[in-house]
Amino acid sequence: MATKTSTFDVIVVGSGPGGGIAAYALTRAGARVALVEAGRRLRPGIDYNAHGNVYEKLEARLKAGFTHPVSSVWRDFAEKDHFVAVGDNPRHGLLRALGGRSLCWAGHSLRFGPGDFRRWPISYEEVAPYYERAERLMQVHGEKNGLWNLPDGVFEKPVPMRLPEQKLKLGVERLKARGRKMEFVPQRKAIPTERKPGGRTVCHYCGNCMAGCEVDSKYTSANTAIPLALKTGRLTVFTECFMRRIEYDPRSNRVTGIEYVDATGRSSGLRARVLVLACSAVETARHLLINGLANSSGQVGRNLTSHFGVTVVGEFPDLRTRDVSNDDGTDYYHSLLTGLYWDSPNPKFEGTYQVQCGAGLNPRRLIVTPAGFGKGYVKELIAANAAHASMNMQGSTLVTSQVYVDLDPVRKDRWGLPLPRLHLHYSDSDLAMARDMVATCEEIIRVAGGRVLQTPGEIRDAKSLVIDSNHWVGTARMGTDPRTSVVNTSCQSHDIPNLFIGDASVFAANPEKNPTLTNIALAWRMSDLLASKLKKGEF
Amino acid sequence: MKRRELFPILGAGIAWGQPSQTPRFFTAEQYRTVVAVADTLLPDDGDIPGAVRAGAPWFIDTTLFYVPTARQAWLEGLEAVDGEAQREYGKKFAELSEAERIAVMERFSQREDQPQTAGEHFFVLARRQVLEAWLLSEAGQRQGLRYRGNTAVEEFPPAD
Repeated sequence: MATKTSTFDVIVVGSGPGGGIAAYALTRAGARVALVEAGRRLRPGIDYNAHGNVYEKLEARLKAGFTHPVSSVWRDFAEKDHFVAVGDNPRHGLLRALGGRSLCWAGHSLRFGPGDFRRWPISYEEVAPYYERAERLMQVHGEKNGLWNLPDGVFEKPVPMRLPEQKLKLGVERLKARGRKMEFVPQRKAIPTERKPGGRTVCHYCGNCMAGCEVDSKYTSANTAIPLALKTGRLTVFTECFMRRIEYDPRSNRVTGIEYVDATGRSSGLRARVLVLACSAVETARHLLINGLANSSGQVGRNLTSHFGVTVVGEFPDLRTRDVSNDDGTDYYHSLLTGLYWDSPNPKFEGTYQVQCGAGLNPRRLIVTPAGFGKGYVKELIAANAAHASMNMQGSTLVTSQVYVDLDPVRKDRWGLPLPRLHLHYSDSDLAMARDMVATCEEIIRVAGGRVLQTPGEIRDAKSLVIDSNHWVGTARMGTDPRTSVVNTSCQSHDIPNLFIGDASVFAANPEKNPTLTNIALAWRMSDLLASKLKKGEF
Repeated sequence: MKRRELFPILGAGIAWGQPSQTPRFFTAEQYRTVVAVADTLLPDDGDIPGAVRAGAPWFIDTTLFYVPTARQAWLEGLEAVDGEAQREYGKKFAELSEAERIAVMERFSQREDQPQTAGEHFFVLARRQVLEAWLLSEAGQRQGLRYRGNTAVEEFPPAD
């Protein structure tokens, strides 16, 4: 291996939602693809398995070096010490494993709407056919709600809301009757609820989606896109292979391949006509900055944004005695507050937010811990959790010059490459948005007959806000002007024609909605455009 | 609950297939305090099995045996609990009556939102870990919460 260099049509680096779908679409279009993943394959049911008696498995888990009693892909395998945080406590999730963070996502699959694409160089109509393909492949469940900026898709039957979530819906209906603009809909997730020929296992509602779905019901790159790509016979998967360098030929202005380090520490090379980077918004930017490529605009690592939020918890006293004996469902959130400020923006902040709402009593994820102890404590514990509904805000941080990724001048990773540095500084607009969320959610809870159990109260500074580790986007944004953007509308580098980007780095703007479905739709669209260029003999 | 009644209850913990009830991280004497603390925080309550019957002391001892993170906090906490018992009643915590044990824990739980003293910090830690151990046990989940989840169901039951 050390001396041999293999040649492919396309190298895809990163096997998460975007890289997985690129491998799938490109191999099906006839391309020979190398999929390079820094992590290893995690085996469902063996490397992760949240089912069963925790006590029986405790000794073996702890002996194996895990520190938490319950198996979880995220807790057990996510990277640590892989970035440097600057400012308002940025967090950054990275799972080096075949399938990437699609292994530990919640499955929330929301289309961006025509209003969201107004800030993009491509329209909703251009992406819509790929949303539809993605929903079919991913088997998204949901309810058709007819909302203009959260378009309906191809859905399997929705999962019902739990009772406290229905209370929130009631609150929303009451506020709508008073003229307020908002909607409350069942959550949409890439988890099958209907048996289909060739489809994945139907969900059995164990509630462990984010710990890793060991029955392979929830969509992941590793259980759907990559196996289907392998079936074509045109995919070669390189696991535990870390891309250390991008090979670039300045005379032809082309990338020619990559150098990678395998699990034994040996370096090898791969050559290809085209390189697709899909390493995550932070890691893709890091590799471009390290290699000094595709950055004539100076925009690589800029325009960084993720979702942030606060949580408000309500209690509905008449639900304290309800039956919660099987309340797991599809993890925690079964419902979504949306449709806020789509039509008329709030003058106090830019953009808008959505609120993921959940309820239920799952012993592995209790939301309410009552004060006290002793006799009666368990009864209060059950009642308080049975009656609670939690509202978790998700808004996009304002894009400013203060929020970006660059390279740490000193600290290096285990391959000797500079660590990425994440700079996060919330703006006044972000704080104003969070204040509006707290006021709105407290009002919904009260008008539905509940009381506010937990609230951040008055938000004075950024300390109250929590960033989403996994929703970073924008570091190689799409645009039509090479001076102000990194890739064109085909996700192709303005600077280097045979370099493409298949992850959420390319987002031109970030709405309140979860990014993965759009990442997948865009990577699929990119792959189609790329495949037709390959067929024409470009590159 | 009297002290001599603890031992049959400890025996129930063995039902989980653990190799031995002999503690591996705690000394035998410390473990008696752990059992008494767990039993005070989450006692048997009608037909709801408490933390000791669920096997929580074994769970905590086993976790600390392998994972060092909370070791120091537990050892300091047990000292605080036994120190308080000694000062107030001239006995070890495990030798106190049920009412005396509750009184000690009540003093430690006064400021659980903003714990200041070693005993107050220990109350927050011990309740969190005893509760977690109870919630993850079969007895806690199935008999305590009457929870049927984390098992296969054909349909998610719509609420009405």
